[in-house]
Amino acid sequence: MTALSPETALAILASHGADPARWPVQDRAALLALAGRDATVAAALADARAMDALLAGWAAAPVPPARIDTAAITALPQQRPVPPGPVRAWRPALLAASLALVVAVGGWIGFAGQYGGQVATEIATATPSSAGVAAAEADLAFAYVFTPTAAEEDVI
Amino acid sequence: MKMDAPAPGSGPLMPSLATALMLRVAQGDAAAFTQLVRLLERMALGLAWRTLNDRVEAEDACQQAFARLWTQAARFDPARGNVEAWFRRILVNLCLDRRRAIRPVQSIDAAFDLADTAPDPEAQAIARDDQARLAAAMARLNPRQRLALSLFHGEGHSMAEIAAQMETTAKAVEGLLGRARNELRTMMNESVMP
Repeated sequence: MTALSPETALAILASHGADPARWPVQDRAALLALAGRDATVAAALADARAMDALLAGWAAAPVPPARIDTAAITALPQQRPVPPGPVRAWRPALLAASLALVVAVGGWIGFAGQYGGQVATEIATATPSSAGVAAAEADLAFAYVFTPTAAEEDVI
Repeated sequence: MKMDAPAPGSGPLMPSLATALMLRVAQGDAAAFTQLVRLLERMALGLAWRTLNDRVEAEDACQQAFARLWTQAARFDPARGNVEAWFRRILVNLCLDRRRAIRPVQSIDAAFDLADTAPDPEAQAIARDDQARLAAAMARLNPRQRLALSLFHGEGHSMAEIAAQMETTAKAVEGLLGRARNELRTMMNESVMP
């Protein structure tokens, strides 16, 4: 029989109730023995027994018949599992080829970076000549949409 | 037809019959579905009602759970567990998803008054008073606590079984049950204070 502290015994009674059959097997004998010599545990056992009786009544209370509308349910379409398609023979080959291509391109870029570093990379600072035109057109479009007409001004 | 809640400690409802019916349901057999509903509805409504503490909500949850059982019947795999456990898990999830607070059906004071006016003999009056105060206190617990109490005291499930249904640990279920019983006791004691 394992030793049981009063705190552990009280915790078991608090969660499991007073029925020894519902207690953890390894603690049953120790808890019953402790209840025989510890007044606090004995009182908690009596309390738990009263609460168990109330909860048993609550759980066994009659439930009126359910009104499940089975006709409405069986009118619903059933979801059918999608059968897995046949594994196409060329898919693994395609995957392997894609992987090989990625590795080859990556290797080529790395090679070009290592031996072709003489090409100067420079951040462009010049604005394309078309940029100003595009901005002006965008401003015009904005003004066309959002500038109120005379009639709208009156309403405002 | 009188429908009683399952007795504490009762086991699963005829798993072999339920499984046979479920396999027919998966083929679209509506008659088998109706039979399966008759097998499970008693347990379902009892569990949903005790969890949600509201008749209309419980019936709604059951209707939804059975609808899911029908529409997703093809997903049932008898090798992975019995129909009852699968259905109960659907129902438990639906009940717990109904997050909105359900108002207590009656206040503790109202329950106390109700018991006071009963013309029964003294012992019966005390018992009725206790039950009424328990019902009022139960209405103030959260659905997870009521569900754990219902599965433990109503269905007779172990901590591990409840943990599986509620997707948590056995230790967490112990804590949930301990707090629920403690809160019930406190609320019931408060209601008898002058």
